[in-house]
Amino acid sequence: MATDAMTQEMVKPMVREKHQGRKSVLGALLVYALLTLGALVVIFPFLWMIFGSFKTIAESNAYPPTLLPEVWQPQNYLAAWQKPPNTLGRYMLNSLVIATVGTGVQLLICLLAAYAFSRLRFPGRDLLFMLVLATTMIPNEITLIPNFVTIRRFPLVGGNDFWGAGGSGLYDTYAAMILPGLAGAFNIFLLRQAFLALPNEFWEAAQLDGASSFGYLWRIVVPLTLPALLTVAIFGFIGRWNGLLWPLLVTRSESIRPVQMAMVYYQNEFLTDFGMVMAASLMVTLPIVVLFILLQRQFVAGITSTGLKG
Amino acid sequence: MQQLKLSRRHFLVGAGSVIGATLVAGCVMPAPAGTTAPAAAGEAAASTVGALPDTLVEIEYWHRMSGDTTLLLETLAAEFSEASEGKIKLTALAQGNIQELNQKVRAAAAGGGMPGALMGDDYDVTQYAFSDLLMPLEEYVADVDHGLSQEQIDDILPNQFNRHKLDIYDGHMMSFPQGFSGFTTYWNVDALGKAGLEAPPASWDEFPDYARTASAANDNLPAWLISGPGDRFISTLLTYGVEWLKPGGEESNFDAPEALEIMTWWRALADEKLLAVSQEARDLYMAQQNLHFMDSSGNAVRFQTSVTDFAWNAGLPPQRHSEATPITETYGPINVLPKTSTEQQLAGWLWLKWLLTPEVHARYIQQTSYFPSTRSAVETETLQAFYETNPTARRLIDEISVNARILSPSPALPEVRAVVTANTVQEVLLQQLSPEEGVKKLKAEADKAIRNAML
Repeated sequence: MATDAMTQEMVKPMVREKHQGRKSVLGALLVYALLTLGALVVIFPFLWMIFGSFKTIAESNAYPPTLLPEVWQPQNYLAAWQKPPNTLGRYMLNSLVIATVGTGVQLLICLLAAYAFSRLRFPGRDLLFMLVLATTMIPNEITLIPNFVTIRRFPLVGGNDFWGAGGSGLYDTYAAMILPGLAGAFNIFLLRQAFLALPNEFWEAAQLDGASSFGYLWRIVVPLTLPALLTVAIFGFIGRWNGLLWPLLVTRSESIRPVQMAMVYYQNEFLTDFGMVMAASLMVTLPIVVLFILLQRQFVAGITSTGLKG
Repeated sequence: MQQLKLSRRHFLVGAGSVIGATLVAGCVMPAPAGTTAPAAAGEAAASTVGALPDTLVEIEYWHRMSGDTTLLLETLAAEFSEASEGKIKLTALAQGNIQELNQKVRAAAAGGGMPGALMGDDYDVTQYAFSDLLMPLEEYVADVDHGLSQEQIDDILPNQFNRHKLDIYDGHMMSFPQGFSGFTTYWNVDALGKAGLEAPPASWDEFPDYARTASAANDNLPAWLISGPGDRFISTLLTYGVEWLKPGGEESNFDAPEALEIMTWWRALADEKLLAVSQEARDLYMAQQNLHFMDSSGNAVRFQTSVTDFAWNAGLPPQRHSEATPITETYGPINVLPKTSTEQQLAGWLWLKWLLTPEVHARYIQQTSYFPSTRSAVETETLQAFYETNPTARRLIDEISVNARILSPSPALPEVRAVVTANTVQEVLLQQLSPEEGVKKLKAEADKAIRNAML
């Protein structure tokens, strides 16, 4: 009897563990099923784009639509590449220049501003920061025309005199597409929050080692807040890569226009070759996808460390 | 040697003075060339068309076309520049869609750099004209050296030639024709055949019963799916012979009995599931899930290419009274001449005029599937060949294009059509409002939008 009782006592936890094990396996299965479903929902538009890029014009306009092409037409890619003046490559190169330079300069400006607002002490600091933050409440549409006037009347360039008269200023230049938005208030806020999370002891230790403010920023702050910086960089790069309205307003030459403006060459009013549109869209999206895959670990870390949510 | 010391107070005062002086100077600085306030319409009328200088005149043509039409306009611009024998260099520039082009024009109006010629839609033209950005065209049309002959004027369809020659512009002519399209009805011939019907009735009065018969013979398929409820309601009202806007332009016409009449039979058909709003109306028509599709005449070319499973046809939408003079709505952009310099304006006018020469116009029409604005273009070899493969498009020229006219222009039209009317019609069709409540709400909100637009 005693042995039986002992055996039962020993078996009970094992049964419980077994039950719990089953539960956790079931739970994991459910989680994986849900995640797979979510992944499919997210990936479906990309699959649609990939398969659609191989369709003929008749198939791409047919209804009901089909996922897989009946006739595979890989030449859509060549046609899409060659369609805009100077090829799609020219527009992609322009976007690369605009996005890389713009994001680099933006990062530098926001980094310095955020550091000043988080670490330096000067009169009116908090008031200035509130002013910077307040600019996030101004809708982009309202700033379009004043920014355009600033670009057209930029002094001493593009034939303009000191008063901004006589020429076209920065209109139709890469600078016109890059300059506005370099000092984004949201990015300054984001980086400031990341900098504030660093313990003050780091600064005190750096001071003991004779570090200047700039040295501390460059050697300590930047490496420790790299995920936040990369988040700003990725958002900035994607925003510039996808930019359409502002480049449209401030350019006239196809040779400097960014890639989103090349898309105008693919869509007709009543009958569009969607196979070619999908091929072009895929080529335009690819650099962003590659960038995200390369930096996804840092990007996710940046999102979580700054409290941002998608 | 005494050292100069700059105190914080002196620095702040000095810096403040410099900033203040700069701001004052900025306020009084001369406006950049090309951005001076345009002359009023009256002053412009007193000026002469002028002549092209010996030096090259460079202008831009801004449009909202896309795809192959963009490439065609670039080619035409190069041909025009060559034809001008070194006097004009014209660049055709795609400036995005309707809204983006409008944004660009408003930015250029504020900061300078208006183009020599410009494409616009009807409500854009009204907005630009009210903002005094456009040159009236009658002086250019009548000019001895650069104008149009009587034969050329007679060649242009009157409804397009006079499209923006309206009282609201004091009778000035503010636009010049390009291609256009019109509100058209498409139907499934095979499906109607099952009900013993050949085509939609000529009168809206007969349409509800006709729709019931056609639908019953086709497994109760919807008779009419509407893609843009605001657009279609106002287009249908026009085919009743009723403008959406009262004369004077300060009040909407939705208190007209015809508005309630339309809302009532639309609601009745919606309750019977024979009429509904669907963004996929065109695709569902092509998939034989919708017996009628009513939209732009330009769709005819798409159906010619893509519809192979059933016989289809197209024609004038039904009218309020079948015996009345037919009327339908004009769609599609036109061209205007922005106020720039005398030389640029003349160069811009010459481009607009050149675009209507028969062969050039025919190439544009073939590319865009629009209706030609001139009779001579129809006779060109280019369009003869095009219409041989698109016979419905050719027939619609006689049936639709001559009867098409624009809605009463108003800066409030985009909001009234796309927001106010669209939402109210939806609410009625979804049984959230009765037809009576619907037209009452429509009238009140449309009038409010008109008042706001006029502020």
